[in-house]
Amino acid sequence: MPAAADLVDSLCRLAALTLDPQTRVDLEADLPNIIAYVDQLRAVDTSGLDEHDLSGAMAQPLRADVVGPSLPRAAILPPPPRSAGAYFAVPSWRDLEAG
Amino acid sequence: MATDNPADGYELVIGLETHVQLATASKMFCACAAGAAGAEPNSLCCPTCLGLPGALPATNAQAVALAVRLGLALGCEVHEATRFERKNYFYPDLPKGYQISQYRRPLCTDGALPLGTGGERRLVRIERLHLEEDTGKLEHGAHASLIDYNRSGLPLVEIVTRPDLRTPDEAALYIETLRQLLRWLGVSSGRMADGALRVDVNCSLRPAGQEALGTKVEVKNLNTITAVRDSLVYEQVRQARLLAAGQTIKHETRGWLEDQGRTVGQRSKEQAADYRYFPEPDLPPLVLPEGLRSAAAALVPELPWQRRDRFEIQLGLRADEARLLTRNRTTADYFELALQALPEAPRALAAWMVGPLFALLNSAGMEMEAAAAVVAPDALAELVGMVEARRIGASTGKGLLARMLSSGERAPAIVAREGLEQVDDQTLLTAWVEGALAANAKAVADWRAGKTGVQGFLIGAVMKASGGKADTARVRAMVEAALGAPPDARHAADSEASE
Repeated sequence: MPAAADLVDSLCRLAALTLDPQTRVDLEADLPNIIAYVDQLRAVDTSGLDEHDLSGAMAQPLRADVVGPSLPRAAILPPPPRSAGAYFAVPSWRDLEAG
Repeated sequence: MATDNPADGYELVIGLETHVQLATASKMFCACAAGAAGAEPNSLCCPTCLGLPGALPATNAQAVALAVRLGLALGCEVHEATRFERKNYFYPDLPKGYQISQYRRPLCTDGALPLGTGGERRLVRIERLHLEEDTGKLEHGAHASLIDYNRSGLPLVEIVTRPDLRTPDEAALYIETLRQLLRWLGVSSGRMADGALRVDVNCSLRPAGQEALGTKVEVKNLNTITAVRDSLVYEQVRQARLLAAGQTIKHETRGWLEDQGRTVGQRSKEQAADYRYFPEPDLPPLVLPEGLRSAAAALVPELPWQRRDRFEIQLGLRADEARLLTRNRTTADYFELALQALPEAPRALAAWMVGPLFALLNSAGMEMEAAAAVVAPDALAELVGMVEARRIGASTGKGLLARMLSSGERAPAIVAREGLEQVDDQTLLTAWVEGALAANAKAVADWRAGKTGVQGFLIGAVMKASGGKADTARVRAMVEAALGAPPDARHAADSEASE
């Protein structure tokens, strides 16, 4: 398992989270305990059970391929600056990715 | 032998992931129209494909049917019971924060796509084919990223190969062959320019002869076949240089910068665990409805490579003719319909299609569908039959085909009206030959002096005199007879006589 600090780095990147220093210290301390708890759950004997067994599962009803109405754009677009013209707008994602 | 190519001594190993938009009317899990290409931004959205709280997905039956049809054509095992899972990641093109996809229980597994022809054909194994929804489209600006969610929720299949490809050209051939199959089956437009077929390449290098695979690099979102080929060529050299310098390859996702002709690192490659897959709680398992599989199977026609084989083996066509005639289903069907009207001449029909017809279509920028609407298959057969029966010359036939394509008129009508039928009257033919030779005495003298190349000119003069109504082969024989033995033969005969 990676060191707690590396794991927190990885999780923050995946979840696009920026943690304040104290929260980060707390999480680095808590994370090993959280993982240990999950490991405890994994210790439950589930042998003989197929987690992917779909026999007897209720099937989902399928929808006919028929076009229905969409929402008017005015109803879905937030006001500026969260929209620009006909588009949703978010802060420049490339800049955020570059950090 | 040492060369300047840094990739020498290494083997390139390639696997491909292709995302194919299925040809449905509506989206994967909602009733919004699936015609995102060309639509006004954010005009095809609803609470479901925008991921608004409380909106529930409902699976499109036709998307499932098309995916099963494709899976059967690829020889996959199609699973009766599968399920959707949530693939969690955070990116603005994904309003829900997860993509509904399939992970542990894909719809289809273990198929193959044949590449190449005849004895050179080989199979590229398909590991899996699964259903999922598309994401929105992002445009990155200086101060903001703009999002169009029209693509969000479009039905996709992702097709994942085993690492069976070895060269950039082979990877390009795989995409061409897959696109041909998609269109052949009618499951997707396959239009890469519209995003209906997108490719991620996974590639690694290993020393030639080594069994263990090298570190894999993924180049994502390639939307032209040229980009697939060029990015692989670039990666092959880049990785070879790193290895030759004793460095290691980083397991990462890279992007292709088309204008710069190079790949660039984007991020470390996520592992499956990073996506925190779990069963989609809003959708019960996907169990194929009774009859769906058999209905899909009934819509899998003779496949392009099967038809190509039949054209070669049963009809005696050349490999290149069979390949060109099966480049799409419309063309192949057109040929077969024409053949029904002229079953005795498959090779002549093939030659007329891949020759004069395709040349006319290319120069006019005309698709086969449009041509078929103007010149019916039996009309082409009628024209070819007239040439084969020597009722009209090949040159006249080519001119007629061009006129048929522009007017829709049939060959016999034009021939009858304009008197284009070949002349069979020996007296008239003799008169044209004698007249042409008399009018071109210098050319005849040149021929007698050994310039045999002028024979074609003299034949052309006869054809001109006939208004194109003489049989070229017959004219050639008559001109040769009138000129006598070729000069070389005469010299040889004279020499023999003098000895």
